[in-house]
Amino acid sequence: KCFIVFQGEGCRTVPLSGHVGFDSLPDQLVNKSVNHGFCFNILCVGETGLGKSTLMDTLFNTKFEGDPASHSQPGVQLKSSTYDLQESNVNLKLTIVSTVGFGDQINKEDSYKPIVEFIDAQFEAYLQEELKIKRVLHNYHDTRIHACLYFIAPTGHSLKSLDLVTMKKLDSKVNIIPIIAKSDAISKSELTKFKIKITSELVSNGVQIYQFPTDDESVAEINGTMNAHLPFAVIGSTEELKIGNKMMKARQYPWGTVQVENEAHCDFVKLREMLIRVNMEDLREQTHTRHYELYRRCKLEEMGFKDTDPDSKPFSLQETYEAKRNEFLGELQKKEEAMRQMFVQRVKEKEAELKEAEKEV
Amino acid sequence: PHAGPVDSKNEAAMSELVPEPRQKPVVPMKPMGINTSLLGYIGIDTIIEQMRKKTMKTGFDFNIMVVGQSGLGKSTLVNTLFKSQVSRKSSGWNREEKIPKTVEIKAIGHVIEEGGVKMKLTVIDTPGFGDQINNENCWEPIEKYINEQYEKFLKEEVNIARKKRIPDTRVHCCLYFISPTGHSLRPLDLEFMKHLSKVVNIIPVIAKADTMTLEEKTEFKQRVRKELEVNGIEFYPQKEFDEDLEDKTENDKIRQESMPFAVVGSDKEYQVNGKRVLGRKTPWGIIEVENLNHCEFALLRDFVIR
Repeated sequence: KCFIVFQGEGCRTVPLSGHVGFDSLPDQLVNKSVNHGFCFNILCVGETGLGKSTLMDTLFNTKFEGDPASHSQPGVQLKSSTYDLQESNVNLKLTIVSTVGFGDQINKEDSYKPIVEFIDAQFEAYLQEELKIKRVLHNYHDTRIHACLYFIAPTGHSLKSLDLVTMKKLDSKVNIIPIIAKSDAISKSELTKFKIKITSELVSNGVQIYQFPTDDESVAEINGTMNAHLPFAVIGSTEELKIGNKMMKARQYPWGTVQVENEAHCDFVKLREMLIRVNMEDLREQTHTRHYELYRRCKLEEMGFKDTDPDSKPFSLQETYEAKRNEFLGELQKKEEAMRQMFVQRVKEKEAELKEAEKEV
Repeated sequence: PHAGPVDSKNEAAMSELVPEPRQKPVVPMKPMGINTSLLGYIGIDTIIEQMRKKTMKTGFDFNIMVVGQSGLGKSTLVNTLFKSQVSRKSSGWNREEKIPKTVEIKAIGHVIEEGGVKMKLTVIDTPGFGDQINNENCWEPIEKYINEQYEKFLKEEVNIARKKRIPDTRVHCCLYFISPTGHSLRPLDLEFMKHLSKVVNIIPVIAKADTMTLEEKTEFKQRVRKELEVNGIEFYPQKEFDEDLEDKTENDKIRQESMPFAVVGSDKEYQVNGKRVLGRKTPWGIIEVENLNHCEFALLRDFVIR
């Protein structure tokens, strides 16, 4: 009864004869997001004492709560705190997750496990919400990790085996940005050699770190340049010292003062630029479209193969859905048919009755 | 033992109840550090620009359906809304083709671009609606089409390996054209909107409003609103989607005073007071489509698009 004509698989571009106004669409979308607020979740992985908390304080210009951890933790734990930050009209729900006790144990074979489990747990929570029949995704507090800052100890030599093992386990689950912590312990020449060594070790071990995207012309250049500076050598400090006539974040030594925001002294500014001011949205998008999708696919396939129906055939979510749908439609058809039969039967009976009545007359 | 996030707002988010319109939340500000000079700037607000760039790159899909009897100016209105020939005008095919015997669903897509924003606009026309002698259940093919698009989307969403961007053919809004009789809604209008308001955003529009005076217009609109209310028909913007008090106040005004918009469409330009305007020329004057004193086209355009 219904005709569907769809023209436009290869859609024509049509010229506009005046101002329509849909160029406000990006703003409409963005405003909706602004009203809802944004979520950003950072995971800091690194040995105790590498300055993870201080770096976060420095990045976000604030003193986050927490006491420095001890070195005597029995196992690796993750500590997570959420903060509400506001700048202009942007409300950011920032969650910082830090490893506690990483690298302190004598036997570090299982050190990576709590981290992987934590990341997976956030994916799982999102997947559960997505699979719900009555779901509230637009109001969901997204706890998935958008960026993982991996703190490398400033030994000046190479990566530790713990670093390689851990990053290898994490690289398919999260965007890894490797940084050299407390880099004021390394001289400039040592730093260059150190960076080269780290990069080659990552490559030869097949560790996929996050690449700043170069597909958008407006940021391709800066992102491309920054990719070459990885891993970033950072220093954190919340102490302010007067240098010249300005107050600056710095660390004072007898032999001189290291300025955090001086690009000649360290890569802090680069990290802030890349992590927050240029690629925060891309980090969120990659987490959702790549890492989460991979988790979801693996999880669903895993469930699909573990459960088998009586015929021992593996099932898929898609097939189950189709099967249930066909079943439902089949039931509907059966009911309709039954009603029709009943109707036909009644008509026949009525006809018979009438015939009888006629005869009598 | 993993410490979970400190925030407990998750609980409220998981609630299945539709939330009452609430005050816009005041975000508690964490101390941003002792100094408030330029060094205090983090750069979080750049996410707005980052997000805008990304949305412009992906482009937008917009699917608009027009429903109403032949001759109410549906195609002309859509062409006027989008300032281009996105809908084939009925005057074109009426001469050669007959009015279809059943309701047809014709979806035609075009790509339009403005200010760097690319939009795939699909206009879904429903020729034959309400044109038969017996129009019983003529909304059914339309309802079926709408649900089929939801079905298509769900199928993609439920896939194990899913597309990065699922093509969206779901009907985003349905303009329902009301005949400007000046009396009341027809039974067909009520039946259609009753059924379809449950599955799609309906925006009722009074077509060819140049046949009514200002007083007739106001009275007609009031009567239409009353009838829709009495019949329990919720048109867009629906109350349940008001996000907060601000939304509710704004939307209440639109729902109770402005809608349904009384519109006039035209693709012809005339010279009025030295400016070129879209309009309709009559012996008694030129009706300017985008002049708010003449008709509410501009309100509809801003409402739907901007």
